[in-house]
Amino acid sequence: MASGQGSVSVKKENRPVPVAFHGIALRARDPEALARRARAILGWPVLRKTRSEIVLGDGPELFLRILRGEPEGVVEMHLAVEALSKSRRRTERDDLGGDSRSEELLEGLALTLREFKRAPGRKWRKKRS
Amino acid sequence: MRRSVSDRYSAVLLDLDGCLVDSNDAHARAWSDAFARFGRRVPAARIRGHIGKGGQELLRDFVTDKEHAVLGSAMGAEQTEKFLARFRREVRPFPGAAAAVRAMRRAGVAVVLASSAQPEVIERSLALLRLQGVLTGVTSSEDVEKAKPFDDIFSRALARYGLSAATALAVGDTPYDIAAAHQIGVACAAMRSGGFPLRKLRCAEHLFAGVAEMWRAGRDLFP
Repeated sequence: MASGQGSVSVKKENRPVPVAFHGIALRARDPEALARRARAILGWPVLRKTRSEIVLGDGPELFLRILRGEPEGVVEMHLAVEALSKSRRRTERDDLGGDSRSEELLEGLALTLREFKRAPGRKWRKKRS
Repeated sequence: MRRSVSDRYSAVLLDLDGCLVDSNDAHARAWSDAFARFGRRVPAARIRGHIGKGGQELLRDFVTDKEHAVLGSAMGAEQTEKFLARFRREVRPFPGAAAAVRAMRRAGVAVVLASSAQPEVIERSLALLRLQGVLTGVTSSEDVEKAKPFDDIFSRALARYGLSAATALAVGDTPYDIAAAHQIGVACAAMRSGGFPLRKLRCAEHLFAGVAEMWRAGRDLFP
């Protein structure tokens, strides 16, 4: 059951324009095991690793975030958009280099809309040739 | 070939980088810096030959379609920031170029700055050249959807200022200026000041060392 549907309504002309899904976050009891499986399938490098999360991917434009915890499942979806500011709803400057806003799609599942505006913060950078 | 009075060019669609200001290397270095901020190692030397294209057009040569769709605007904004940070140290006017533009205007030649650069870069460059208020007009990447090598910037310049393709001369330093001009039947004078090899500029109708030399040696091209 979707929650808070009324609160996310935005006039058609002010709606952000979706560009691409660029990230997903999963919660897992054993992030290391899931990261190994995901790496074997996708071949993505580890972008960062802490006790609570492992992030795999190409960079802020395409990533898989694995959080430690229960219940297991999808907890975040990240959608790159254009014209986010036109909706005049509050956005936050984030470390991926975007202005973003999160809405709860389902209980425990957040959809983050992000308009990339600048270079990502240091922890999102990765050396590539 | 000497042109008759009625054949002379009454309007110039003038590029900025590599023609009026010596900035192509700084642009390449700023792109390299910007790519590095996004985790990509692209040497300035690899980018140099792509300078002259609009930013989004240049990006397509270095990133995937997906990266371009998601990060293109942010990468372009980062390059502009990096370039402006380098501007004071690295960008210099070409000797005599601004004086030649003033002389063209005094001779009655319409001069439109038709550049793929961002408006803030154009503003800064015109201040350096002391050409504010001298030009007939300015078109930038903000005025069009597709920058060079597409013809949009030149087409917009002709339409906005009521100029004819038949009597206009595009003045640029890159093969992308030549391609853009020829798409709409505008003749092009290529300037070697931008550092592009001669073989890349051979398609141009005219070839000069720079804008100052064009006005001096090619004086009979204009009224």
